[in-house]
Amino acid sequence: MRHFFSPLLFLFTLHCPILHGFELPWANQKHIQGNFIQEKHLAALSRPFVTQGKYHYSPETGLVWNTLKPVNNFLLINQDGVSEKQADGSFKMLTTDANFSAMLLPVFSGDPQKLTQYFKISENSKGLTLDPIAPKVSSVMQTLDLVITEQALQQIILHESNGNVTNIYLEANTHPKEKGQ
Amino acid sequence: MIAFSNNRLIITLWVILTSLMASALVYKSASGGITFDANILNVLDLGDEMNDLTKAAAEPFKTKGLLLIQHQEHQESKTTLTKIAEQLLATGLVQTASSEPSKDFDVNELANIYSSYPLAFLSQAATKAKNNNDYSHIVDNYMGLMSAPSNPLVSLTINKAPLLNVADWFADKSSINRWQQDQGFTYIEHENKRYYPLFLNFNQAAIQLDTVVATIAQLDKLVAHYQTPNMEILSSGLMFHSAAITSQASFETQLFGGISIVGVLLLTLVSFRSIQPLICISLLLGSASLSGMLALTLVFDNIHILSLVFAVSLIGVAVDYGYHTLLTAKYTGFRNKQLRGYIAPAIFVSGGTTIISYLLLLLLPIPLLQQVAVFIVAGLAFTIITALTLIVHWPWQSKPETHPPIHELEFQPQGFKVILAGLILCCLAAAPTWFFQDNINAFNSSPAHLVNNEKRVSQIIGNQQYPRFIYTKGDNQQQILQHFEQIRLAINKINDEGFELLGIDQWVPSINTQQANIKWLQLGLAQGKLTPITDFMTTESVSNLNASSDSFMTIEQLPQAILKLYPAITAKEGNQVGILSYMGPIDPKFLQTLQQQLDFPVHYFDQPTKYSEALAKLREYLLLFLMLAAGALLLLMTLRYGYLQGLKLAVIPIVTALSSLALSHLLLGYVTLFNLLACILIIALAVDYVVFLIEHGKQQHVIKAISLSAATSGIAFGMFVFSSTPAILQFGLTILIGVIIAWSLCFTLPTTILKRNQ
Repeated sequence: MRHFFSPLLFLFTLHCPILHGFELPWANQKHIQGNFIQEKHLAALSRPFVTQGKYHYSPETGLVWNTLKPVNNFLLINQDGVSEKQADGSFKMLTTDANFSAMLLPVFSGDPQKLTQYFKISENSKGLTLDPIAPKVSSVMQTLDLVITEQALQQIILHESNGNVTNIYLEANTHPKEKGQ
Repeated sequence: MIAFSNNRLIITLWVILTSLMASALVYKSASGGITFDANILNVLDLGDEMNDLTKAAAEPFKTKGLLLIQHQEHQESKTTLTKIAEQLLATGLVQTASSEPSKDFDVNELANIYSSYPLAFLSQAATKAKNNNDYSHIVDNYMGLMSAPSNPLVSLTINKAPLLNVADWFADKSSINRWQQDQGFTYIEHENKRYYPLFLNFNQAAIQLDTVVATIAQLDKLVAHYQTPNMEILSSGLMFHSAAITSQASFETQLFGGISIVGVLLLTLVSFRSIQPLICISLLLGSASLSGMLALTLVFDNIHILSLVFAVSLIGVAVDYGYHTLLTAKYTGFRNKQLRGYIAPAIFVSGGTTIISYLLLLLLPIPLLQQVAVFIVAGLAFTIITALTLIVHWPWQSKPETHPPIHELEFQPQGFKVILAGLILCCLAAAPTWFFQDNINAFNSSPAHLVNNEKRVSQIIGNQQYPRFIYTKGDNQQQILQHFEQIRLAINKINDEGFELLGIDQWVPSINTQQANIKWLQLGLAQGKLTPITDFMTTESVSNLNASSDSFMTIEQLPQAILKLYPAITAKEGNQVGILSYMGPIDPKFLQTLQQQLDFPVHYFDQPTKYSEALAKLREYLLLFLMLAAGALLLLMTLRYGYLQGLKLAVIPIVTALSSLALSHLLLGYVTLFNLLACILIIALAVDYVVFLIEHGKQQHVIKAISLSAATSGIAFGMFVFSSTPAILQFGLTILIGVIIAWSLCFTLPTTILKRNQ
């Protein structure tokens, strides 16, 4: 009975203009962490640019995006912008443009209030489609598709206005290549 | 009956002439042909090159304002900032109100422009790598940028600039060292407090002379609404000072002008105990001002407010002729032709001397003084016309045309020699410490709270609020850009304090630099040093990069939003002059070290010093003019009254002017060009007094006219000593002293000196 009503309630809240009522499965978690595989499908590239690494999110520190392959790269994304860890351990600010960098933070926080602050939200067959509200962001980033399972955020698909697509598979077992292995 | 018809005809002609002048002035004003300027710095002649540089350097800052908002609760600061920004934008006073310093930039447009030159731009770090021939930086940067889940710079540039060096270049430009980010707001920390900036770009129309006071009043009202004991809001920007000074000047003009007019009218009324002289004096002063103003608008396109302030001197001289004519009519009973014949010589001699003196001002290449001269000469000429037509032919009803005996003074005041000795002593006392104050800061009339605000803002944002300008010359724009790059390198070597050096080269490297960047990256491609990147690129992309490119970005391709941030490169006598804005302190040692590292001359555009030099030059011109005026006075007096008597009479205005300056010096500790300006009027007034005394004798009506004139000038200019504008205070003080001295000397002048040889 409980399993029957949960999706209904979930769907109902998605169609409400005010989404304060619904909760994403990973909301209210103090930490989210795991592995990621990121594929960039860009028109300028002859093949996808694939990176792998670890991520960690907490509301206090923001999103740590630690790429391990093909190069080691440590990014910290928070409300202050995007900064990159240098060889000496210090962080160099790459961009202070919070409009873009802050976009992923509400997704990882799962906070409906924050999500509605940045996106128009609609439902699709696999989860949610997020349309950026800020014109500056929407001129570059068309939509974000979130593939959501009952327990977790499985995949983020970033569709850019120029046709470029970035697929981010979260947790190793969700990546099609790894499934096949 | 014939006399009555003649009077009506003359008065009618006067009315027609005055009406024509009034109509012309109204037409000129209604058609927008009169523009005013209130900036004291604009009256100074810095030389053509400096004037152009000043304008170019000031342009990017003219419309820019800044508010810094601080509250212990950061959210409170952000909410307040948002509300102020929204409300300001709603008023239409500002074009933009943003917490970002570069809100105007269109990233898409910029990315499109820069990506058209895919190999021409290297960030600072990439330039260092180029100097070390280290291609791994380019590869690492590429991998780093591509690793980020979302980066708009990559998305916008990768198609045309696939090495991502252009994305890296933009990252350099958008990283703001001093400002930090907080949920879409920028802020800066100072003394454990967080200040959120609101960058304002005012509409040009909202900060003009006639609108700036209302604009800033509206902004102040808005800010005051949010200002609580825990909320600190600091303002910075030229328009705040401009509004305060204009508002202050307007208040003082109305207050002092009002008191002066009431004083003059009351004096006239009390002296004549009749309304008709009051009407005559009002018409005389009104028509003189009208004539002066019309001449000013016909000759000059742009009128400086300060010219009008100093041109008020006209009232002092004009009223003098009115009193003499009216009192002569009252005491002698002369009317019409007879009155004109009696009064005209004195008016012509004194008026002529004054007009010639003021005409000499036209020889000086200072627009301010030329404007004063045109106003006074035209005003004075029409004063003479009014006195000898309207007032002389005024249809007096109360007095018959009789010839009562002339009233001689009942007593001969003593003390001329004592006063003269006292004045000489004052001059001697002031001489050892004589000092001409030419420092522009001595004339700053900005209110203290605004000056303190500016200092505080400078401390918080860690920069000089207003930049120091360095300029360099070159044959063309490219040479200027090369010079800029070399200066930038040299300054980075001299100090590492990180003060910003703002220049257009930050957005457009010289073609030489662009060529070198392209060559280096193409070499890397050819040598396979960039293979980790090219492995991901399409064959077409790689061949596009390898194709030689002869096109380079130039200043012309930059969007207006960037161009207006920097002083424009100006052309001067076949040379190009470019300005860099340095936000740190500059001293002679710094300049010397900088120059030693460069093989071309670099100049420091020290505005305060340049203005002070211009003030000194102006003061020297005034001194020269005063000497010429004294010479003209001696010449005219000796021509009219003979060598000895002319000399004696000319000495009185000269001594009056000198001792007024000396007393002003003793009181202020220095004298400025505004004290010298006052001397022109003092000489004019003293000449009037002396000429009427010698022409008509030391009679009761002459002394009364002189006393009334002195009292009027004393009231009108004495009020200036309460002014908070230093220039006006200095001007008023010297005139007040001069009027008292001139009156005292004339009042006690022995009749033996006045006896004419003939």
